[in-house]
Amino acid sequence: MAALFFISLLVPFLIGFSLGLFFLPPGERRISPLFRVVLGMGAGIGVVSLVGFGFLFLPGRFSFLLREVTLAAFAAALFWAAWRKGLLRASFARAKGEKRRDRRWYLTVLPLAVTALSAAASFALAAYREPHGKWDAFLIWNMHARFLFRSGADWMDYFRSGLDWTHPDYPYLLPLSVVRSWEYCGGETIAAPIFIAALFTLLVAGLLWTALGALRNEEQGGLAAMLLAASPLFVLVGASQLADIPLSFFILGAIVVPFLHDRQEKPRATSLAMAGLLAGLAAWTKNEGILFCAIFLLIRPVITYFAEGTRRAAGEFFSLAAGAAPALLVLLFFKTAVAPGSDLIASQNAGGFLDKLGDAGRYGTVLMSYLRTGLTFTQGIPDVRAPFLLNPVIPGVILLAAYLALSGLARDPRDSRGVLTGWVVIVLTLAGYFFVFIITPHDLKWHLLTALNRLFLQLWPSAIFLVFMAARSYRPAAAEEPPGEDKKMRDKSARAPLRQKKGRKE
Amino acid sequence: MREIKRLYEHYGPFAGYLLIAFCALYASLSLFLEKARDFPGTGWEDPVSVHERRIEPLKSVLPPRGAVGYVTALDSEKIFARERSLRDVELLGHFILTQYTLAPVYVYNTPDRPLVVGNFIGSNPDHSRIARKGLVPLKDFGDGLILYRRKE
Repeated sequence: MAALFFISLLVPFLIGFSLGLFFLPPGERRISPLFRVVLGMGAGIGVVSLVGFGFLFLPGRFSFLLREVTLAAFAAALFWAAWRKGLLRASFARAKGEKRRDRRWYLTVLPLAVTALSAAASFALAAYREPHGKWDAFLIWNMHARFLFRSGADWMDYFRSGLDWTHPDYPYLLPLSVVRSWEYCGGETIAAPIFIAALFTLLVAGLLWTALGALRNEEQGGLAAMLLAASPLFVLVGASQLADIPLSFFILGAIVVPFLHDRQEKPRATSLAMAGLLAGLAAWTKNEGILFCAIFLLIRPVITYFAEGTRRAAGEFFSLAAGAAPALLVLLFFKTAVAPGSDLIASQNAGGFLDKLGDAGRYGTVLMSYLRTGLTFTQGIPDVRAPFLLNPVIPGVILLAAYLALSGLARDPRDSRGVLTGWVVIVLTLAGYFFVFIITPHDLKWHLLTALNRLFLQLWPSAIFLVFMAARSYRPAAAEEPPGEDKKMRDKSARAPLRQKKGRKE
Repeated sequence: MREIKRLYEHYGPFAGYLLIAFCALYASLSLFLEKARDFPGTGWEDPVSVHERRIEPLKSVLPPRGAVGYVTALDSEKIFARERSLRDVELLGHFILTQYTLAPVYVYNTPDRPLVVGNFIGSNPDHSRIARKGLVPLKDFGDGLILYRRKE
C-alpha cells in the first residue's frame, strides 16, 4: 500500500521538480536541491490535480490510464528537457560547493531532530486515534473524494444534488489527490488521505527550513522549522486531514519565491511565474486561497510600482498572472460551470449584507475573537467548554515577537520588497477574513469558534518565515553575505586571508 | 548604556535561539506526552469506523445510486440547530457519517423520500411519530438502524 502510494507521487514530483528547474533556473547559487524537491513535490501535486480535473470530463473506462500515460509523458519530456539543458546537473553542482557545516550547526539540528521526532510521533498518535480525520475531513474533503471515486461517470450529479452542507463548491485539489492515490492503491483506503496529510505537513516544515536555509542560513531555517513543528495546532490540523495545511504550503511558497527573484542579479520573469503558479494552486486548494491569490497578484505589482515604476510593475503582474492562469482558469470553470454557489453568499441578499455591515456589535465580537484567537491559536484544537488560557511558552505569536525582540533586526535591502509584500498580503488577507465574518450568514460565534484558528494557521508558516527573514541570526553563515557582492568577489575575499597566511609563512 | 547595547548585539540572537529551542522542545514533548496519555491501545476502532460498520449493511439493500431520506430521534431542522448552538453534535455527526458511508447515494435530512434510513443510536424510535410521517418499516438491521418505506 505504502509502496503504491509512493509510486503515485513519482509523476507529480518529476513534473514539479522539472518546472522548478525551468522557472527557477540553477544559475542562482542560493537554491538548494532539497528546496527544489520540497517545492516541486507540492507544486507537482497541485499541477497533477489540475490535469486530473480536466480528465474527469473524458468519458470511458480508460480515462485513468490515458491520464496517467499523458502525465508520465509530460513529466518525462520536462525532465528530459531539463537534463538536456544541463539544468539538473547545474542545480546539484552548485549546492555541492556550498556545504559548510561545523559543530555549531548541531546546536540547531539536535533540538530540531527531537522536535521533529516528537511532532511525527504526535501526528501518528493523532492519526491512529482518528484515522478518518476530524469533522471537516469526513464532512468535506474525504466525502468529496468518495463521491468522485464512487460515482464514476456520474460524478457531476453530486454538484446538483443539493447537499449544500457538504460544501460542494470547495475547490478540488485535495479530493482529486486522494482519488488519484486510491486509483493507484486499487481501491479506497484510509491510509491514502493520512499519507497525503503527512506529506503536506512535512512539506510545509521542509519548505520553511530550506527556504530560510537558502535565503539566510541553515540555522535560521532549522530554528524556524522547529518553531513550526512545535506548534501543536500545526501538527493536529495536519493529522486531521484538512485542507488548511496544503493551503499553507502554497501560501508560503508564493511568498518565498519572490525573495529568490529579488536576490537574482538579473531578475527573471519566470521566477515570478512560479510564485503565480503557487498562488493559483492556493486558490485551487480552498476558498480562502482565492482571497489570498487575488491580494497577492495585486499587491506585489503595486509595491513594485512604488519602488521601480509602471513598466516593471506591469511586467511583474503579467508574470504572476501567467503563472496563476492555469489554476485560475480551471477554478473559474469549476466555480461557474460545475459547482453550486457558496453558502456564504447564496443564502443572502443585499439588505442582509448591509444590515450586518452596519452592526457595530459584530465588529466588536470579531475583533475580540481575533485578539483572543490570535494569541492562542497555535496551542491546539480549542474545546468549546474550556477555551485556551494563554500559554506564552507554547510557540505562538508572543514567542515569535519575543524572539524578534531578543534577536534584533538584520535588514537586507534586497529583501525589503519581499518582506513588505509578505506582511501586506497577510494583513489584507486577515482583513478580508474579518469582513467575511462580519457578513457571514451563519451564527457568528459558532463560525468564529470553528474556523478562525485554522484561518490563522494557514498564514502561520508564512509569518514565521517573514520574521526569521528579518531577525538577526545567532550565527551568520554563508548565505548572509552583504548585498551586491558577487561570487567572484566573495571567492577572492575568502582566499585573501589564506594568501596572507601563506605569505607570512613563506 | 553602551555596554547593554553591546551585550544585546552580542548575545541577543543567541538568547533568541535558546528561547525558541527551549520552548519548541517543551511544546513538542508536551504534545507528545498528551497524545501518548490518550493512546487508546492496540486494536482500537475509532467512532467513525464503528459507525461505518454499523451502516454498511444498508448498502446491500439500497440501490447503488439515487437518494434516500433520513429520520432520527429529533426532527431534521433541530439537528443542525443544536450543532450551531454548540449544544449537541452527536445527532448531526450520525447524519454526516451516514452520508459519508452511503455515498454516492444521497442522504437527505428529511423523511419525504420513497426509502428512508432510520438511525436511532441509543434510543428507541418513537413509532407513533414515525407513523405520522407516513413511514413503514422495511427492514430492521438492529442497533437502532431501520430502513423505512414511505406509504404511497
